[in-house]
Amino acid sequence: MSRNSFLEKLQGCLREYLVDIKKKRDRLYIVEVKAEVVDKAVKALKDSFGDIHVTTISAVDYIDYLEVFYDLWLYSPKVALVLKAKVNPSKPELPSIVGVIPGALFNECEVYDLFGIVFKGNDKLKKSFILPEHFPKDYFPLRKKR
Amino acid sequence: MSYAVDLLFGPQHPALHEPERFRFKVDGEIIVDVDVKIGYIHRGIEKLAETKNFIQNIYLTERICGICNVAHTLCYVQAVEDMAGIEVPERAKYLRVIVHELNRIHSHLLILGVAAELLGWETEFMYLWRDREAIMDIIEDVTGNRVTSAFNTIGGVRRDINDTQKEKILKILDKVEKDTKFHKKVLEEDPLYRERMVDIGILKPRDAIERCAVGPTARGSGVDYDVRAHDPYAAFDEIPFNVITYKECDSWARMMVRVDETLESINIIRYALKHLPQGDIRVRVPARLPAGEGVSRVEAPRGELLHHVFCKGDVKPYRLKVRTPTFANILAIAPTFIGHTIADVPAILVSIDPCFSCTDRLTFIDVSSGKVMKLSLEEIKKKYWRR
Repeated sequence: MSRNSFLEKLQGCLREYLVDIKKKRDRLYIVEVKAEVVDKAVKALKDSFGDIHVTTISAVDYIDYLEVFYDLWLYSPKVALVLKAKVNPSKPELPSIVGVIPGALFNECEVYDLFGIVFKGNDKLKKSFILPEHFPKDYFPLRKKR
Repeated sequence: MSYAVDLLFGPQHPALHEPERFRFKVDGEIIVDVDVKIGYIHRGIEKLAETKNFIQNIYLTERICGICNVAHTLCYVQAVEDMAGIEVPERAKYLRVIVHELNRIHSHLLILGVAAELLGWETEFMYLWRDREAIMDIIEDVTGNRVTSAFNTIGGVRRDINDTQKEKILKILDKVEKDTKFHKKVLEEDPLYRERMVDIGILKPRDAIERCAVGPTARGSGVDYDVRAHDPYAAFDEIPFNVITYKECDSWARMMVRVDETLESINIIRYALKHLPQGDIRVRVPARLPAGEGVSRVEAPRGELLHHVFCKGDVKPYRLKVRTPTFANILAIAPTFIGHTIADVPAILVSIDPCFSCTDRLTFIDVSSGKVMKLSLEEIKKKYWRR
């Protein structure tokens, strides 16, 4: 599949969920989607391109908003995607993608522990996933000072 | 009445190098469920990286893992170069490949030795580690250090290889190749090793993909995913090599992937040394880098490693995300314990190249009623021990 036709197919399958899309370099695209439909976007990717490898899920705190990013690898077109979604830091919520890709479980738990972002539909989220058990429950260490 | 007993493996155990807790539910000798707790050595490196400048972070990321230190520095500097749009000289790319592959050989020989030791085969452990020492000598000769080599830097590498070193490396590689072929034959044929490893910890290809396994763990299940081949970095797009996969899906296959990859790495180094381009080994890079983000994936000895760096036009990164391969593999491997005996636990765990430990606290669950009882050692002595 040529790179241009890949981009068109990507735009086509994510049309309803897409905010922005750009090519970072060869085999790497940065895609921003609406936060409330991340699970549907990942499902659409899986339906169009086959198996997806979730390398990691994490976030960056830009004070005004939290940017959650999903580093994905598409096995068959051999392309990496960075899927991004902006969430509100006062009520950070996203749908979980564990239903689509079970391998994302630990990643979601880690983000919940370090950023306090809630993945709706993931019932295994709990504090102290990687932080010590005595760590304050309402403090999220990777968020910036406000 | 049958009891499922909670057996805690971890977080400390003298045999393995990192703490981790596995809570196995065992019915007699058979494992019926497993629960994993990680994070005992969470050192806050991602947070710490936000307080240090880009150069200091090379030495910080190197210390995430001593064994795959080259993979970490390579991944980090590539992410920063991707972010700042820095082009690395061709010679530096080849030198990076050479040290990266030397690192892989020493890591693979190390875990093959540890596996042999955990299965009670100390002779093979000693031989493998003796042969690994030759690689450590090359690493010391080329980089100046045995373990934390500090070889990669933003914009290139810090040291060059001269012709005398080249000759020496090629000579040692011939010996290591001969030794590795001998070990391959031994590990393929030894009846005890096969008895402990074959058909143990089956990870089906579908499960490996769904649970996002990486590295030799995935390739031992026939999943053809190697970052070096599929998303080439450094000079891997110019170097021919084979991606090793095994179809057996068991612990033995995962170890054999490592043996074959060692042989493949030797050929990669030979090719890179032979085709080493002339020119500079680094470009100078300013301390303050432009705003942006950079992503880099490399194939570390244990599997796909990712560094994702964000910058706001500062001398420090705004955020650094690191995803190490064992983090992915633990989730993938956990369900494969079910149905095996307690004695198989080390054989399965060592096959993903990780860490476990064990303690002596017991919880009893009455399987028929699901009632949980906790008993202290004293109570167990009084109630159940017959003298």
